[in-house]
Amino acid sequence: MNRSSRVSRWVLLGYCVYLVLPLYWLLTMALRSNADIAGTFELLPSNPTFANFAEILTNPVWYQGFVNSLSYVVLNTLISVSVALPAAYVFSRYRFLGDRQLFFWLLTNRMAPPAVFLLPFFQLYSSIGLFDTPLAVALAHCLFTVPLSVWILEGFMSGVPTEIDDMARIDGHSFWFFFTRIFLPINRSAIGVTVFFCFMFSWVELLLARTLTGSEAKPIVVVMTRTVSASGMDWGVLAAAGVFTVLPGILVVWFVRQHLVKGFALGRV
Amino acid sequence: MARIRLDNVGFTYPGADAATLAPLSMDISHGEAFSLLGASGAGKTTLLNLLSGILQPTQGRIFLDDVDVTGLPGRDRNLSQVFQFPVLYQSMTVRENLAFPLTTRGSRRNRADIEARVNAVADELNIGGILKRSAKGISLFEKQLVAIGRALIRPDVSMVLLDEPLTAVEPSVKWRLRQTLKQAQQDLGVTMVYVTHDQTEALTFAERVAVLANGYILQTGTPDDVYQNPAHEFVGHFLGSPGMNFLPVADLPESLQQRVTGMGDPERLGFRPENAALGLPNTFDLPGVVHSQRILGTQRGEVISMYGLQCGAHSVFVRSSMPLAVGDPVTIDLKRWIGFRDAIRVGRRGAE
Amino acid sequence: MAQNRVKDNRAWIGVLPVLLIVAFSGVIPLMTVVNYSVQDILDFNTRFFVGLEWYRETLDDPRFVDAFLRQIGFSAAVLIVEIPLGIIVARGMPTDGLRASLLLVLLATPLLIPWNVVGAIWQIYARPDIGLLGVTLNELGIAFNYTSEPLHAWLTLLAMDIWHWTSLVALLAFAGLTSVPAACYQAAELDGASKWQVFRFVELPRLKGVLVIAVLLRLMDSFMIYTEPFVLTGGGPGNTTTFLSQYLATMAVGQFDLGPAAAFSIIYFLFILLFSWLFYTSVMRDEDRS
Repeated sequence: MNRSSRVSRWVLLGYCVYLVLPLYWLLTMALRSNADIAGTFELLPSNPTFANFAEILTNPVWYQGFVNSLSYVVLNTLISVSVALPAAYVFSRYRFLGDRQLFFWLLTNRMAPPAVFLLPFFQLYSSIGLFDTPLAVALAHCLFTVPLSVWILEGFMSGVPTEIDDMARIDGHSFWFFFTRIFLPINRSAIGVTVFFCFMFSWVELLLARTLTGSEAKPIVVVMTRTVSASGMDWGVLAAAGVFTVLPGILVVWFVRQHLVKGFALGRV
Repeated sequence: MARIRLDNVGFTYPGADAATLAPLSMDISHGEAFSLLGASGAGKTTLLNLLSGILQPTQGRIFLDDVDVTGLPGRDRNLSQVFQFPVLYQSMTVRENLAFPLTTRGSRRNRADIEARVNAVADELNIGGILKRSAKGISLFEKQLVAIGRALIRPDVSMVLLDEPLTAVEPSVKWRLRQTLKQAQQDLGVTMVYVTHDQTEALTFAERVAVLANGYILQTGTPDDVYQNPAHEFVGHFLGSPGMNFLPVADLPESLQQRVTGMGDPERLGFRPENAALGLPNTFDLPGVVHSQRILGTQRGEVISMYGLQCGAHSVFVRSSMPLAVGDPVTIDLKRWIGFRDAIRVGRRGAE
Repeated sequence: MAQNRVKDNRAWIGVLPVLLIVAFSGVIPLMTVVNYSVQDILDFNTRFFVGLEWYRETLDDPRFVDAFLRQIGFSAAVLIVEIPLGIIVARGMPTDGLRASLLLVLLATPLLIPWNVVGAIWQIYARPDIGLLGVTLNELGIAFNYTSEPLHAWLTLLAMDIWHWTSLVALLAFAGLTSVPAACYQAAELDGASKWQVFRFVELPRLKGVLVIAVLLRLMDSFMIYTEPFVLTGGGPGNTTTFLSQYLATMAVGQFDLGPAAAFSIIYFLFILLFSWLFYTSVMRDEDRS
């Protein structure tokens, strides 16, 4: 229907420009040398160079940072989704002792400021020898991504009629077969949305990732902050690294864009 | 209240090969209860949307009381609509919902008038008791009543469009809603256009019915007329349960064929299950064999059945009180029938 | 949760993994924090029980109070701008086609940029010497410098947060709008409703659910904001953009004041819970009444 009025379309256009300008500026900076950036102000890079990108792709500190980040993001997403699936299923299908309390207790974790957990996390993971490993960061992020995953998945699964379960039982399928071959495929978009949000949280977080890693597992976001302070503002390389960190996000959104609206419609984010 | 006139109105979606609605002309008079009947995909929703101004016709003109409203948006046609599912303003009370169309641009009235009108319509629909309730907290049936009330609230409304308004309510209260609607239509004398795929609703509600199929209006007439004298084979087939029986004239016995000739030279004969009588073999011209029986009920102590009969290669249904069993041979007497050529009615017999 | 659920306590098996993982990564650390918050820790072997002393001290600490007030001001500003803007943006969105997909991706992009990169992007963008925004403003005759002017720092932070998070509100509102049936718009049109009335009486009531979530999320997350101001302004100039998380991080990691930092953490967490709960219950009470 014609819900979009002329005003809101202009606002949308203005907002898109507002979104794009800083990104555009990041890109132009990434394409210029430091001397060029400091020397002249120009809207279009007149001497574009790929040296900054080359620096990132060849310097092991930079690309190792990427590998580290991706490994804990993937680890976190795998753990979160695999433990949240059975939990969301039983929350959507069964009543059991303390179910409501448990559900809401899980949600309160989403409201915990990460800063609160800095020190205890540091001590906890140091004492069990996980400090400076991707697994430590992945587990720490689980505090936020697991409740979120349960919350999103439960919302979708509650919308799947229980008759599906009964039908599978009557047809004589084992629970395992039903769950993996029938139930999970139905909830594809739920899993897509969940992956999106796990990724969104784990990829963008800095505070915990920085606290729980030393030199070995240092993620890209931390490499960026340290380079800024060490080399006296290496703007070009910083911008190039920024461009690289924006890309995975865009890829993920593109693949889940259709499911995303459905997920948002449930209001469970 | 207004007279609605469609002059050669047609609609084709941009880029589509065939017209969604073939050019048609139609005249609905002041205060008439008019029904558009057709299966889904027949074009009735398109026609409704043309009337309400969601769509604009790709040809032809629409007049309300001789004012050309073609091209005008819905809000400027002073009409109202009831939808399949009750459409209410959730955040308002029932009273506010009813009053809303009287408070908007172009129809602003003083408070006493609004109050009086809301109470009058609420009385008519018997919803005076729930006026203070929130629109969210009432039953589906009541919600649809309120939606109807909102459609009737403007005293000068040109027409009320009803888009399958009984779809959402439970079967047990369907008839009550239908009665209320019909009563309100008569009391308030509004022009109503009722769109449905349900023949019972259409035939019981309307003074005149238009039957649509594939974007064409096949027949417009009184409920009795379209039922008894279908102008097109589809109309005969679509109305009634089961619908009209059809037999090719060429397959009829010689004696019957002779009675048919000179009646427009029909290719096929149509007759309704209740317009034929059964007899023992050799009583009438048309022989058949019983292949199914469904008991409909009793009437004056007799059991009435719907018999399925095999007449040569064709199967027909006949309603009769004659006690028969599957496999019994019978003969059929056509008391009233209609002749069709190229699916169009060319003659009839037995109908006065 | 669904209505027709079967009662079966064996279902606990299904939630056990979640319980274990959240207990490990949530409960143990939280207990540690509670434990610290009632002790004076000189080093890891010397500690005294001090009761609620740290809590009292934290609540009396003017720097905490200042950071808290700044935090409230920031969160309020964020909500006032982002919620209406997000709704308007969502109303301007086309419903389908390639344009809708591209817009969706563009809107979602800021949500997936690491938070310190968001800070870095805005640093590059707003700096008065090399930034497009900073240079442009100065060219226009405004002596813009967010590193020295508190007001400029605030506005830049706000602009950054709007850039970063309005999309979330917009996407939620957009999803809410797609669930409004076409018949509702049509009915309002025939009733002669104005554009404002369509928004107020047709769209807004149906957006309520997603908007509650949007406000809750923006409230909570803006209350926890740390990384972006840390990168962009470092809390300065002076302490003018030091919010709660940053103050806490300085205390815990920078100064190693474990006891006070722990008490601070608990108070902080409780505040967020309280705000969210107050907002949620007041909205839901309205819901029940109607």
